[in-house]
Amino acid sequence: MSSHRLVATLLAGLVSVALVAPASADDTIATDQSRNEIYSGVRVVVSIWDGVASAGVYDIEHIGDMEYVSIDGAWLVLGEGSATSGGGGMALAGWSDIALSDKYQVRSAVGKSMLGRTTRMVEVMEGDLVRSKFRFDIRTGAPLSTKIFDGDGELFRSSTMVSFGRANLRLYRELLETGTQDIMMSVALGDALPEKVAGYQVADVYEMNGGGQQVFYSDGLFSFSVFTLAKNTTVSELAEADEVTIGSGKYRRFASPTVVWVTWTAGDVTYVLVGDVPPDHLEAVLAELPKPSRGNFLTRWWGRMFG
Amino acid sequence: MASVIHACAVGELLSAYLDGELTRDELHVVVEHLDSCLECIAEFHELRDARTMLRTLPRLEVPDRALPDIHYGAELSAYLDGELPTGEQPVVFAHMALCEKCRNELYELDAARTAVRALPRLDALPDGSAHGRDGDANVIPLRRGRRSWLAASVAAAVLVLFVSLTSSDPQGPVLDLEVFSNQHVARESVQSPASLFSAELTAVDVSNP
Repeated sequence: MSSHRLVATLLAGLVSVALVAPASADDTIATDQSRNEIYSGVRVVVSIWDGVASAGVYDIEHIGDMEYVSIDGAWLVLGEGSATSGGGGMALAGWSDIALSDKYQVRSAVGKSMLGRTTRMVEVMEGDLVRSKFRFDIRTGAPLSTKIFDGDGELFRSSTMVSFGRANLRLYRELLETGTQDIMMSVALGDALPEKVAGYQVADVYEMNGGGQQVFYSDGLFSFSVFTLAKNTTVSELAEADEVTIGSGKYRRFASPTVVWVTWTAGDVTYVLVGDVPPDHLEAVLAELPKPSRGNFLTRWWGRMFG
Repeated sequence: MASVIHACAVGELLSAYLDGELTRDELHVVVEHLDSCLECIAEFHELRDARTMLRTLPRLEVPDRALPDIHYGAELSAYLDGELPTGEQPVVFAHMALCEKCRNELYELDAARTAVRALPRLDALPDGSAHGRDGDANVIPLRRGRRSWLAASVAAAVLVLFVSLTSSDPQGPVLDLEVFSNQHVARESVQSPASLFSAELTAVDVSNP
């Protein structure tokens, strides 16, 4: 994979925008006045898929509902339903609200100080399993530390701020003045995908340039998009990705520190899934989506005979 | 930059942490430790700055003449055929002006091709022998030819049938991963974990998890 593409994939999914109304100086009561806090920081994200770790170190500049993320010279400005990079940008025409699924229970407590900031600890339980732990900076709502656990309770992804300070407003303004944006329009859900999948609900559906749909699923905590494309569409980087068996199907999978991509073909449709779901959720989701085509008789016979 | 030295054993794992090479247990230890150890955070920044500095060092362009014994043997044939990429042509040309070895090699290659082109044209016979175009005409048995063509046709038909049954469908359009990434994060950006937990973050009374 080229370095440019690698950087682009590393940038994907690193989202911490759309701030909560943060607490005021006494760290207990939210005010609208303090909503648009600005901050900058360096965030380290590590994920482990099948025992293989991938890591990224991201520079963050955060202003209000927008966030500038850069890694190794590539950058992305995202927030308010838009994403703009050096190669152009796109913006969504609208979106719906998502509530946290009732399969989760949330607990919170005063957290210990981190990077000199007063924090609030939020723990999300899924049944008896601790699914995620967040430590938010009280004043800005910035997630200083995030830990996601897999179905076995093992740490699957960690995201840790290792520095925290004021944002560079000038740099941010310059970036926003560059590039043009394609507008993505909402459409009705097609026949290829279900409304609900393994506890995830369709939130929005967008029409893609050149045909196909982006179906955005979320359970409030994690989210993924499934893109439906014409059969035999090739996603350049995924064509070289590892073939893995998930459940009963074979898929091409590529994982970055922040998100995972999976692609497969079923019938006349090629699917690309991208999201931040943990491995056990991914398996459950794929089990309820169209299964990968098994090929014709001779292909299977040839595979059995010669591997 | 002053070096940060302290007693944390975790400091030794920071490089592997940056490379994503930690085991799950090590990752857990490092993440927990980075939450609170200012020395390790400083060391982390120092390590990262050093790597950034390495990556931003200027790349040196060394003139070909400064390189000992570099020759373009492999490219000369393409150069003769006019098949070199546009950018490489002046490089090879400039090199030959200075390199007698490559110049001679090019002359020899050109002479050899000229000699090959001057040879009389030969037509192949079914038995592998050859005769000149103006030589005696050999009679090829008609029946043998028919059998050969029949066998070849059957083989080709079987091959076409097999390939059509086993091969994948024709290649479709090729898209960049970045397209999907940007569209997903654009939608994801309108809702963050923090926005979900606004009640917990602003609560006056908190419970201990």
